[in-house]
Amino acid sequence: MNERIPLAQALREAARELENLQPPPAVLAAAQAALARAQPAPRRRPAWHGPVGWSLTWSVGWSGAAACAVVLAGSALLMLRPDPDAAGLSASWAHSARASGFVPVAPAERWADADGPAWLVSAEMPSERLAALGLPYDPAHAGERVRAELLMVSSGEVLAVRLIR
Amino acid sequence: MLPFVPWSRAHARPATPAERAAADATVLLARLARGDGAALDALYRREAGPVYRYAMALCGNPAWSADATQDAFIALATQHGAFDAARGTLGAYLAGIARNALRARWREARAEEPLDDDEGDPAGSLAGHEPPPSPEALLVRAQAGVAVWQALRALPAVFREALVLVDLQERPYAEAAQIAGIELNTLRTRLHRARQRLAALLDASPGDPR
Repeated sequence: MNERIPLAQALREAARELENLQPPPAVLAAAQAALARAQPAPRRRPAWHGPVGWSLTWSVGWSGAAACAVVLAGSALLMLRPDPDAAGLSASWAHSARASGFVPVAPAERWADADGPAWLVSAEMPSERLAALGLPYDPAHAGERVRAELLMVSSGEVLAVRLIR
Repeated sequence: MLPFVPWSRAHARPATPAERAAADATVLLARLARGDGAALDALYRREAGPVYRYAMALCGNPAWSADATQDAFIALATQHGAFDAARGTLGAYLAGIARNALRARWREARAEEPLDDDEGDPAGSLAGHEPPPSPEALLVRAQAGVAVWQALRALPAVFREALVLVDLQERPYAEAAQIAGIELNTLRTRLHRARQRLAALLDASPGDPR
């Protein structure tokens, strides 16, 4: 029998057949076991044996430091406005320039709730503000401006950031 | 506290599904780095199928394919930070690990690597040690599915890989080239020649199936 089969049809059939294949469950089990093995054993907190009253002093001190950090991070993020000049550029440079991967800046639990449409907002900022987002930056180039794209939901919450090189 | 940025949609564009998927993957990877097994589950559900199918289409051996997929996910679960999103997609990273695992198996089994750049390797049989059937023998087989897979396995491995990645798995060219470890132009050339050879084996008309 010498029936001609269009190549596209033949490949479609092969692709359909391939699509039905799934790895055996043991693969996931092995990966989960490896993950469990790779986790370091939980470290026990050393007991604090300081004089009475020190723990209260430490608590107050750390609370103050944490509050300062939150205020600083919030201020830096509020300054991180979309650059109006970047509006016309966003579509072009976002696609032409090389972009890093997304770095999450929102807690993982928030992602589960963010089912609505996501938007990419182009922004330009001094590189030192990367620190406020928890991103690494080179202090030697603190004054330089960097371009970034913010993955946001409609409420204005930033889920992730990626840098454009 | 979530960051909040005042913004206007005039300055924004909707994130594409690929961008959203990349961002989602980043979050899952961050959770995975903290030892979150649920994140590994989610990543596995997203990525394991394509990796396993890629391996199966290359070697036709379920045990090898499962091992290669397992190697990829164990690396993902234990080598945090090895994946660099700037260099490609997570799918490409995992498929690359599976590819290396298969190469190691072939080296052990046959002392040769069908996925080397030897495009002239007429056998390149990844399915086993039997010689590929002749085109005439293939044509005798009326069932298209059987004939297509036989013909695919008769192709040199590097050609088969290009076909599997682009035509069967419909991966973007750049991702396919990254997995195969070749330049984009090389991928295009291999794909063109692979389609021609496959069409000849199937007595079909070549062309761009996409």
